[in-house]
Amino acid sequence: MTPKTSRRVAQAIITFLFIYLATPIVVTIIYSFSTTWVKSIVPSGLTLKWYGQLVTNPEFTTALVRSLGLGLLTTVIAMICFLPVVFYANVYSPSVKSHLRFITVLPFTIPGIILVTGLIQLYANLPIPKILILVLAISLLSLPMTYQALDNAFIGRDFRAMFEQALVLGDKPFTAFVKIIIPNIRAGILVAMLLTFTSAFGEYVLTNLLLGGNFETLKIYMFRLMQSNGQASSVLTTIYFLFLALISLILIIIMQRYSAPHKSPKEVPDH
Amino acid sequence: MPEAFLQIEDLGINLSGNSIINQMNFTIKKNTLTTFLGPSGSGKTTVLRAIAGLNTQVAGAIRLDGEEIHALPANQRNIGMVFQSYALFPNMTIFDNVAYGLRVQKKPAAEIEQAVMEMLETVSLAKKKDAYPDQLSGGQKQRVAIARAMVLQPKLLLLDEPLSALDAKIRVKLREQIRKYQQKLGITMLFVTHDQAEAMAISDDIIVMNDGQVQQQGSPMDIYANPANLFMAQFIGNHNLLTGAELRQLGFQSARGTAVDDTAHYIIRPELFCPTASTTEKSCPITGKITSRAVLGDRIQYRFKSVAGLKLKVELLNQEEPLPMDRDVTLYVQERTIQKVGATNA
Repeated sequence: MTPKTSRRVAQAIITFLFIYLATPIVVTIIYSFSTTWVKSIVPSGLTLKWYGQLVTNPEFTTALVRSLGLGLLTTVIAMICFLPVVFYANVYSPSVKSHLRFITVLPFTIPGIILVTGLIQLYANLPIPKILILVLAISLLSLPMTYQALDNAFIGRDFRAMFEQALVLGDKPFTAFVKIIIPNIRAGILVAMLLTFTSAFGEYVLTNLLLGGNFETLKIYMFRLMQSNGQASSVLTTIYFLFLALISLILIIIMQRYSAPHKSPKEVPDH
Repeated sequence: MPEAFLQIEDLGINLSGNSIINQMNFTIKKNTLTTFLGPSGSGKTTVLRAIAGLNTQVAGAIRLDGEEIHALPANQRNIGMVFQSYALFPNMTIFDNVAYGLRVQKKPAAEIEQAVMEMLETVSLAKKKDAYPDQLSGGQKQRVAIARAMVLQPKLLLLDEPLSALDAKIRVKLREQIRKYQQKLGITMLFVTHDQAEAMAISDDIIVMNDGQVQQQGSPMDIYANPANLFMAQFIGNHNLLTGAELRQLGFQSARGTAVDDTAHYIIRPELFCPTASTTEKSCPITGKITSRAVLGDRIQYRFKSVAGLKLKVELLNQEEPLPMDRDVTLYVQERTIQKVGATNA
């Protein structure tokens, strides 16, 4: 095979894969705008009716608010818990990091069903609201992403010297942390927050198993809708897809802005 | 002038179970620049961090200007510190970096503006006040770090290898500037370095450390000429270190008027060899061959092997014909310049 033909083959495979992956999304999006689409190649007409119906449906708004709440609460808890730990490990005790790395991959190894069974057995008889258990469990599950994003932010600068310098200049540890550390790792914090938020926002397994019908989030509502109303569920899928695409876009922009190769200024004599 | 401005008494420091510093004692005087000199890993930075309050888990006493500061946290000690990595705050301008400590003290804005600009003038960086640290060169960054520490008028300024990340030319220039600031502003400085030339060039006083112990404290001249022990003799300069027996082999029967002790160590400094005998002082001739020679510019460095096989380092000013390498040469050393290691007479 000549290089030219092998490139053609590669292009063909990639094109096929792209079509294979994109078609369902495109069709779902078109379906969400169509009046009817039965027994024909193209829909018979386009409409925004389904969007209007969904948005005005109180079930949808309640589910949306719940998902947003779950996402925000989880993000806040994850940041409050993990940011100080990652800071401490990086600045004062780098040897702890190997243990931390092990802990942070644990969520990958525990299937949701086992985690839920364990959580219910452990907390069933305690007067702790299940929603709190859920939020804490999701925060923990987001640990691999949160940890990695935060940990990366500490690469490349001597944060320990910066923090200690602020103390020597008379500042208190907490204000030094807020004024010196946070502004210099804000890209990492932002990325970690967005990742945690999207994973909590779209969480299905734990929420469904732990709270199920009592607490219908957007994802659970989406699955229920799928079985009853095809058009409405495609509307919801479209909205959800666009939302995720937007967050991914923001993530890409943040990462490009802050991880661009650092231009070191030329050493210029100043006298 | 009070004799001991900073007083370290029986300082003991353990880091993760290892005793790094044990029973250390020294004092430094007010308005002087004292260097803390020692090989890497000798515990210099550890002591500095204890003085700064970045490590408060220490035994013994640390007194500054008569006040016991050993238990105070870092932000209450009124001590400045300049880090090796500059530790500038990248999210702030040069002005804001220098103003940081004054703002923590909640000084009025006009006063801060004036003090910061004055300090930036002193370090010749007033034009860069709106730049960010990443836009400066290494030497400029370190000057900002020094200005940021000096603007608070600390009782004591600690500098932890502040020049080691810079290239040689800037290093020499900046060390002269640091000395100038120190004398102009009358700040007491404790300067950590592993570079002996740097320590010699700028210090009033040098404290040499090894293995968590003070080996010797004295003026640069004193440290160089009168090493207190074998470590000092090996550490300072490129002295020729000889045993008494070897010295006798070269033909010396006495050093500075006392008989050579076979069990003691002696040093002959390379620059004290002469190509001719002194007419006024008692000199001893040493004959041998030059095995190699290196022209350093102002000086020529020779490797010399005596007839008895002793290898010696010799340095002569580059002012006459270099010594020949193909035949025996005789060099002279004045008996009074030979220093016994550990002897206190100057």
